[in-house]
Order: sequence, then structure tokens, then C-alpha cells
Amino acid sequence: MQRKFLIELRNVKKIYPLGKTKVMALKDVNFTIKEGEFVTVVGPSGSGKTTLLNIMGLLDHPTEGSMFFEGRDVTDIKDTLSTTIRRKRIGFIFQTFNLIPVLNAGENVEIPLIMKKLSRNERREKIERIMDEVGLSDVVNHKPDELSGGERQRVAIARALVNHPDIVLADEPTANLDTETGFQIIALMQKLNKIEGVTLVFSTHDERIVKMAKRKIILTDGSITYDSENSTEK
Amino acid sequence: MILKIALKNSRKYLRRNIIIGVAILVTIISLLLLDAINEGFMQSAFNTILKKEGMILISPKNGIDPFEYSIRTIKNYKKIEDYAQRNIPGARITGFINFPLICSNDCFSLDLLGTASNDTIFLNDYKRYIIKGTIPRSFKEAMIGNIAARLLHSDINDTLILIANDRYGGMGVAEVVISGIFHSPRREENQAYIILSANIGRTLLAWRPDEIQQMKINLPDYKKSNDYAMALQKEFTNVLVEPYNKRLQNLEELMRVGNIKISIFIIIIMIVSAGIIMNTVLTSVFERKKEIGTLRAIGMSRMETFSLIITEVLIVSLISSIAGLIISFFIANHLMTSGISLGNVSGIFEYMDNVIYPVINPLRWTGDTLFVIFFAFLSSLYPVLLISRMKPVDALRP
Repeated sequence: MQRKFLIELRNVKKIYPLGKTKVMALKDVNFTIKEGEFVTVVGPSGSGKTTLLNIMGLLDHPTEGSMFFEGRDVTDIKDTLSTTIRRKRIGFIFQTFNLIPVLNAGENVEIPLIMKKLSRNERREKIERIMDEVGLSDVVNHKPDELSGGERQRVAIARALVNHPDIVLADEPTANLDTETGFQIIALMQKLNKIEGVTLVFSTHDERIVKMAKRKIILTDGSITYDSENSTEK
Repeated sequence: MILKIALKNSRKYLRRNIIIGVAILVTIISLLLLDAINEGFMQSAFNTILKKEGMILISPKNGIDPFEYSIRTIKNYKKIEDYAQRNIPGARITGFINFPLICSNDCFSLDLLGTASNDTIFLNDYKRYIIKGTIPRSFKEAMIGNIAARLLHSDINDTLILIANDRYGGMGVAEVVISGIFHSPRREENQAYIILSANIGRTLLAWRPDEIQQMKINLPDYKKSNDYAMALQKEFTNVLVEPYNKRLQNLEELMRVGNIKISIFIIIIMIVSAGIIMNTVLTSVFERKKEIGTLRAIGMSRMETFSLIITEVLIVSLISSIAGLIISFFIANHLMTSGISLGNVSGIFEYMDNVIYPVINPLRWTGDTLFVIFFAFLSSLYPVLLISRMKPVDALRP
């Protein structure tokens, strides 16, 4: 069966002003992400990985070009609409975990469910299930500063997945973790990709982790120089 | 969720919230106490007026000049007194002479009285007659002790001169008639009044019998004061007749000036507090930029972000306002018992109490508290709007 295009980028450019000069973070980026894919975006620091994920996650707008979400043009949508799409359809995992420090692990995972206005019982049920899946059933009541780096990132993964989003975008999720924990996190993301069928796009510059992904996109100086789907190196 | 995060954040950023809280606390305490004092002052002033209800004040045409002794006086006060007694039912008439601040050798000043000693040749002849007397029941008649009566060579129905300290540094003088002599083995000690026999008093004051500086006529019904004042003015054109409502206007003017001064003081406090609140909230939200960016990224709307931060400010405002309300209540309660001395300020309005007692007006205090909470909301509005309107990508950027 032909899988649907979830995200499509057409000739996307992103230019940032830097004093009196301008920096082109993305240059004519074109690619599509299909449902259920497990994609890694690879590139050195400053290659535009974060900018690309921000645009895909509707956190930022492209300067030029278009972006489509499930075939709908979302290039210049209003903040209220992009917020709704992010809330219901997109999950985020950050390099520095970005957990809310005053809330415990369970409460951090609960935020997207509250935003979705689920009942208390539904929320409790979903939290238990996802925390079990990420192997953190024992630390539900622990605050982020009581957790290890790996545990914090698992909480972040649980928070990103608890709402069953269509796509999860992870910006260097293993960068702040040791190699072993990094592998565990990617393995967990792979497992969830298979079980939940969620589309996963993550950026990294760790070659060992890249090997675990099905599809690899290489970004160099803001341009896609390799996409394993097309198997063409530019 | 917003309330939960806001409550937890309020605890986490305690030091910063204490700064905001203190700014709000100072504002609310200042506002409530000044309000209570103002209310007390107004009530005291209006009570003064109402106690003197129907008061008509009669002064020399050009007012009283304290530096010109005997110049501006009501020279025909006996005629006015007779007229008032005949035409105004129930009128209570009091005449006053104010001591001059400066006087020549032929008169008697407050300073001379205060510094009189055996070496003061001028006073030596009279000093033994200056007796500390009892408080008279009214300015028209007095009860004195038998020792005082003997020393004054006075008996019942004799006229005495009463010199009374007033609270704003001057002295009031009135003629009183001895209505009774009581027998007491001891002398009544009362620093407020000095009684002289009429002849000696008049000599000391260079005061002619039909001469007085001010007259007050009190009516049982203040509503008629205007009519009687007009009649008096028509009859006696060489004096200035001021009825009750004229005095009320003066009082209102006094109140207006007082309120402006209080308002300026409160505005200064509020500007300083607003600066502290805004600066602290600004620092706080920019330190938590990443946290707010994360919430925005995972789907929190601008409005929810706004509500989250503003809820934190409102929690601190609410706690501080309640604390301020309690502290102000205790301070006001203490002042309601001890009173606040106005010193010479009360001299602005004649016969007003020189101690005022703050009055708590529950409705105004509730309004003030709500106003302070709203003020805290307004003060933090700029930083809160700034962060809630920030694009998530900018908020997430280190």
C-alpha cells in the first residue's frame, strides 16, 4: 500500500539576519516524509539541522519555498493554527530534554494530555502505559533533577509520544547522553516507531547512531547533499 | 495545569517573588493606611463642622491680623450680641479676642505671660492674681474654687477674663461670669486656662469692654444659618459674616488639597513599585525562556502562556495583598486607639480636633485591594506580553 506524504518541503530557504549581513541557513531544500518513516538528518554543527526541524515542526516559517503537512500548505499559517497542529499532531524531543523543572516525570508527560483536554482517568491510563513503554514506571513521581540524563530523555520521549502524534521531531536527542545511553534511546525510538507506527525524524552527527536509521538525509551548509531514499549523493 | 505550574513556580522562584511581594505589600499598606487616615481626617473635619452645626462666624471686615493688635476688631459686638439674642432663637454666642503675636509696651503678649518672673516689673503687680482655674462649663460662665475667688477678690456673678491656650500656638480670651464657687482644700491644676479678674485682665490686654475680635453664633438648626447670616450681614455691614456652608467650602478645599498631596505620594510609591514588579517579572520570564518555549512548542497557545505567567504574578499579588490587608488592619487598629497628632496642622481649620483617628472603610479597603492586584497585573503586563507573543523558536533559542 502506498504510504501518505506527511510532510513535504519544496524549495525551502531560510535566511537569518546577522547584523548587517544575512546567513542562509537552508538553501532550496526539497524532500518528503512519509507516514511511519524513521529518518535521520545528519550534518555537522551549523549545517541547518535544527532550522530544518524547526520548520518541519511549525516552530518557524521558511523565508522562501513551501511546506505541506498532509498535503495542506502550512507555509504561512497563523500562530493559533500552527499551535493546534503542534498540540495534536507533532511531538518534540530536545537535545537538552527541556522538561518543566517544577513538575515531576508523570506531570511532565501529562501536559500534552491536559492540553488535549482528556479526563483525569484517561490521562492516568495513558501516562501509566507510556511510562511503562519507556521503562520509567518507577520514577513517575520523580522531579527532573532527580533523574539521570537517559531517564530525562525517556521522559521527554514519553511526553512527545503520549498524545499519539503523527510525527515526532527529535533535535539531537542523544547529544547530551553517553554513547551507551544514546544507543538505548535510539533503540527505544525505533521500538516505538514499530509499535506505535509513529513517524520519527531525528537529527544527529553521531555516525554510529545514523546506522540505526532506515533513511538518512545529509545536510551540508543548508543543502541536502544526500538522501538515502533517492540514493543520490549531490 | 496552568494553576499547578504557576503555584509550583511561585514556590521555586521564591526570592524573586518575595521582591515582587514586598513591592506590592508596600503599595497596599501605603494605600490602605493613607486611605484610613484620610477617611479619619474627613470624618473628624466634618464632625467638627457638624458639632458646630449652624455656626456663623463674625469677623472684622478685613479679617484678623495677628500682628496688628487692637486694630481689626469688632467694635460694636454688644450690639450684635443683643441683636442675635433677640432675633435668633436658641443662639449661643461666644466672643473671642486673640492674643497678638507682637505687641507694644502697653499690651500683654503670650510670650510675656510665658516668661513672666519676679523680675518682670510690668507683671509683678498682677502676677499674684493669675490663678490656675477650673475648666468652665462654657465660655460664658465659670465655676472657680474658693481660693481662686478669694485671690481674685471675686464673687458669684462677677466677670472674669479667661485666657485659654489654643492648640495652634495662640491664645483665646473670653469674658466669663462666675456662676458658682466651690469649696475645695486643694487648688485645681489645669494648665489650659488662666483666669484673671476682669479689671486686671482688661488692663493687661488693653481690651475695651465693647471690643472683640471674633464672634461665633451657634444655632440649633444649621439649615437656617444662611438666612440668619444674611440678616446679620445686612444689619451690620462693618463686619464679615460667614455662615456654615462657607466654612464647609473651606473644608472641602482643604480636603481637596490634602487628597492631591496624598495622591502624589501614592503615585510615587506606585511608580517605584511598578518599576520593581516589571523589572523582576522581565528578568524572571527571560530566565525561563526555554521552559516557556518548550511549552509553546508542545502546543501551549499564546493565551495559555500569558495566563500561566500572569497567574504566577496574581498568586504573589493575592498573597501580598492579603498580608498587606492584615498588616494594615493591625496598624490602623492601633492608630484608631492612639490617634495621630496633627500638631499645628489642625490650626488650618479652627476648632478641629488636633488628634485624628483613622477610620477603616471596608468598601474602600476592598476596592483598594482589588486595585492593587489590578495594578500588579498592569505592571507585569509588558514582560508577560513580550514572552507570550515571542515565537516558540526564538524562545527555545539559547
